[in-house]
Amino acid sequence: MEEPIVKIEQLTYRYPQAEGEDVQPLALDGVNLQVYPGEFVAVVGHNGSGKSTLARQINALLLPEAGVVWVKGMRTDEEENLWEIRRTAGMVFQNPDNQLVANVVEDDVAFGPENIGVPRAQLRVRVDEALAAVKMSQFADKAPHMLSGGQKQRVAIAGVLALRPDIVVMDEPTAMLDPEGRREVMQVILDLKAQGITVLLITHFMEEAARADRVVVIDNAKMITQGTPREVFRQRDMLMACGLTIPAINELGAQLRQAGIPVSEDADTVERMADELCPLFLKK
Amino acid sequence: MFKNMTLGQYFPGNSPIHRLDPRTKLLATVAYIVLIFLVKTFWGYLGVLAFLGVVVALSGVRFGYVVKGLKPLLFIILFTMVINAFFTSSGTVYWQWKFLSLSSGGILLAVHMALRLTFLVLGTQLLTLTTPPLMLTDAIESLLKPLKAIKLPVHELAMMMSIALRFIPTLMEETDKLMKAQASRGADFESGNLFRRAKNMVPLLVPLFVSAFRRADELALAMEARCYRGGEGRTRLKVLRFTRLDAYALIAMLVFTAFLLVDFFVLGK
Repeated sequence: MEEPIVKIEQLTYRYPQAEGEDVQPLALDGVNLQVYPGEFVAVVGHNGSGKSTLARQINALLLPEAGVVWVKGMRTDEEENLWEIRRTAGMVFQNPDNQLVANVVEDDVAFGPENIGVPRAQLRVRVDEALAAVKMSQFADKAPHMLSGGQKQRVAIAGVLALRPDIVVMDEPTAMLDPEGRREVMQVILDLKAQGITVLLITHFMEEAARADRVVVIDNAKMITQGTPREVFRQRDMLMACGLTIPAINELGAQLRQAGIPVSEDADTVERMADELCPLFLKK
Repeated sequence: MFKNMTLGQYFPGNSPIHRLDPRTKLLATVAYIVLIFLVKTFWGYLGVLAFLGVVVALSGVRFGYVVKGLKPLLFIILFTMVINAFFTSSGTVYWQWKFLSLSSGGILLAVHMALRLTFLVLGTQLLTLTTPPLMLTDAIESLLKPLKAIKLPVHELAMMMSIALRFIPTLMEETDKLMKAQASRGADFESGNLFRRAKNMVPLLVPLFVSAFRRADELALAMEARCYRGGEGRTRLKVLRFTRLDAYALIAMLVFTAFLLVDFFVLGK
């Protein structure tokens, strides 16, 4: 198999202790994770489970207390790798307002490449490409505060894409958006995946995780399980114990089975569920 | 209510004045401010008026819009007039009471001051009316660049200014939300005298400050994540460039300066 873009081994981290406070509990406890090129991995967990901490470790915004994080073969705890790691692993944050720097959309998208000293002729190309990738080209000269939440978040994603990263790490990019904005951002993520860009999505929306190639469940600083969405959503009781739910369609299947209606666990889309239910209904 | 507010008082357009390099405009404005304090005769003021008239006409900004900018400063202009008129005593004294006096020299000085302030406001306003705030910060950064030699953090200052501008609408929106949230729970921002109203603003400022700090923290993190490490080695998407238009502006400024120097040294004698 190919070399993973992100390789995390026995990662342990706790936030620094504030003065007069007790030692902080572990935010991450012996986490192992690999992300391969072109993969779309979703990390799920309830609030405080450590999933955002994990995202920040990949971008070297936080450094391991124990264990190692490699990004494209570079150790995050080696100072000289810092800027190349941040360019390689782009990061999109939760609040769209607090990550846009410039007054004009295209200037904001250019911010990252400007920082790494991309020549001006190429800056224009990168900005236009990145805006096209998130379908925001017609807003290039607008001010961020005139955009909707979903549009701002798409600009933020473009700002990261302009750095031409190998992996885009998104820390709950849809948590502060309305359903329309959430749908827009999810579409962009699927478009990125279609273009072969590796995506690590931190989320607590199970419907979003269901679209991923692989789902990683984190609870209480530990990785609980990982697998394809189908494999993971099969373990309904385990997810409930982690304070998570399963997507509505999987929940429906589980409840139908409990009620004695024999739908299979493969019925995880509306279409498949309908395909299984209709014959059962006709048999009656 | 703040959503569609224009930032600063920029008047969008594509006139020759709008297209001038912001550095040219900034320097011309500074020169203009110095020059109008040299004016000695009423011919000089007429010249300034004509110059301003031409610039406004070129800029495409409505005259009424420019004059409106005087309104908030009317009080200060009148105040300066009164102070100058009553506290200066020179030439023929018409009236005196203790230290207050009304003299020909004082009245002349008062009229001078009023005209200068009026022209000052009208002229400097044109700068902000025809230049987007971000271009201004770019111009300031570019013009202050030599001061890097004495360790002035020029890039950082310009970055701070542009981030402040970027967050004005965001914080306005937030203030609006907070006001509504508090008004719905009975807070009163409208009645009472000035002091009382200011006091009622305190519960508004606390959450606003807390949130501004949180925003700053998150923004810093996001900037670092996008490889920001100060001005060293940065390239720019948009660069300022002097064009032929700026050369014309320079000639115009030189003619204007020459005229005012004639006014100062020849007519003013």
